[in-house]
Amino acid sequence: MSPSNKPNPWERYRFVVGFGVLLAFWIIVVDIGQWVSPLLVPPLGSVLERLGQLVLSGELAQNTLATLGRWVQGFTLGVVAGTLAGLVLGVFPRVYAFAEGVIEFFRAMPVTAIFPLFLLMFGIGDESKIAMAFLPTFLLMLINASYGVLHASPERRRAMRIFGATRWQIFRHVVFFEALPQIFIGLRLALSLSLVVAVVAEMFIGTDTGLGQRIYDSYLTNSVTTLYALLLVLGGLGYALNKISMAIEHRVVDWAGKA
Amino acid sequence: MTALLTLDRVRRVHGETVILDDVSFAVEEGRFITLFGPNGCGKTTLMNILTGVDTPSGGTLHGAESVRGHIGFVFQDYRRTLLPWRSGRENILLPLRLRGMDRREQIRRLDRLVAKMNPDFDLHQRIYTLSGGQAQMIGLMRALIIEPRLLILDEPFSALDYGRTLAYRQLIMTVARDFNLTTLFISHDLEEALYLGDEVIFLTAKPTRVREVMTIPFPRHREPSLLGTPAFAALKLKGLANVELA
Ligand SMILES: Nc1ncnc2c1ncn2[C@@H]1O[C@H](COP(=O)(O)OP(=O)(O)O)[C@@H](O)[C@H]1O
Ligand SMILES: [Mg+2]
Repeated sequence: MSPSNKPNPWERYRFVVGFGVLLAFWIIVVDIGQWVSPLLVPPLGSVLERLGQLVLSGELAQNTLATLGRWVQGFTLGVVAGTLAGLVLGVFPRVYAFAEGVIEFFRAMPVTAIFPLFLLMFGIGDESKIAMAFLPTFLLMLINASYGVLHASPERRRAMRIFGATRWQIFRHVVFFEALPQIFIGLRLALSLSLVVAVVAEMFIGTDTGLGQRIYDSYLTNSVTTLYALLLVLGGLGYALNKISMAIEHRVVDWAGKA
Repeated sequence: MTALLTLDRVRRVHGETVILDDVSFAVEEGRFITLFGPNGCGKTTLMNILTGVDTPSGGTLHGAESVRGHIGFVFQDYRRTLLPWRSGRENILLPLRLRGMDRREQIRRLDRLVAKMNPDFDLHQRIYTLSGGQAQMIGLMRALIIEPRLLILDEPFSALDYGRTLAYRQLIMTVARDFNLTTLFISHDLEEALYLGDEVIFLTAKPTRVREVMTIPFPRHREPSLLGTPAFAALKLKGLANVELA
């Protein structure tokens, strides 16, 4: 995608270099210089040490899996249900016109505000957290899938009709693919937002596992090194998930924007 | 000669605007007809009516029912009518796939077509990697794969450069002869319409009527050098009388 065809050997290492500079800065300012209170920013050395302990004790794996487990359930359900609903609404623009206001209403509402209501509806267990990951995913997928269908090119649909295609064939061979790039845009947005919401939801009552819960817990018990170690993990997790989804997107809709 | 298709006082109105006012002509079997008219006069609208995508507000079509399903269509905007998520090959096969034809039969047809057309590029490539001319070749092969009785080309070369246009005109003439096709070629270019047609139907601007039908005296297969002859110049002068200065 870069304008020059010559591969820049540094390109592959950009992430490593950028991150290395940040960590070096951290070491100089905190570990060596001790210019910042370790109660706010602990030395990198002790954070990594703590991270090692969390890994070895299995605590990290347990909490990461707990968070991912809830998030995956909510996110997957949201992607499937939201995409299907969005495709159907897009195919029936008259129904969409009625639903639009309702969708916009829920979309405009900060999702985290719904959490207390979900606690009432689904209880304080996993279900309410799964529902929290589900809701923004569902809405974003619904909006983007229906938008993709509604803005599919009329030219290709006309061509398909001239070839004698049925409505279902037009949908399956053309409209669905035309909506796909927009569906991936929804997927990327939903991925970040649902992860945020899933972690935040863990900070409240009802769980004793999960990265969000452990982060909030380390704040309450004043374990700043644990807090930092967990933030590093969470950042890495979000980064990896984003990279995976982008790689899938590039493979599946390699033609997007080129037609 | 028998008429494959006859249009009798076909009309198309959108609300208050009359697009097609009164269009009548016949398409006789085996003929190469060019339809010449200014932009926006309703040529594409007329083709939508022929293919059944649009319905006329008045008038009648004879023979359309029996020819539908046997119409090969080449579009003006190939970029927006090919499917970029499929290879060239899959684009060509699409009309057969829509008919639920057996896959082996589809491939047999494709092989036959490739042998005749000899595309000089790899059909497995994705559409967005092809040049304009190559993409339109895919569009043409997609129209021919159904072994049509009527081939309609709606300003198929308007996005190609002049040299490529000349080459494609030759290709279309050869295809029409070798496949024994009745052809309806839409153009807004006078030279192109006269060069290709056995018959040129001149349309007026909106509200559209048939202004004149000209029979072209040249033999069927023509070479670009014809364009420089006095006979062609004389024909063009005659044709110009039917062009409205906008
Ligand atoms: N749905 C519509 N409502 C109103 N006018 C339309 C509609 N579709 C096409 N037209 C008009 O019909 C005319 C003919 O269009 P078209 O058939 O595409 O012309 P051509 O192919 O000859 O350039 C244009 O002036 C266009 O603005
Ligand atoms: Mg047109």
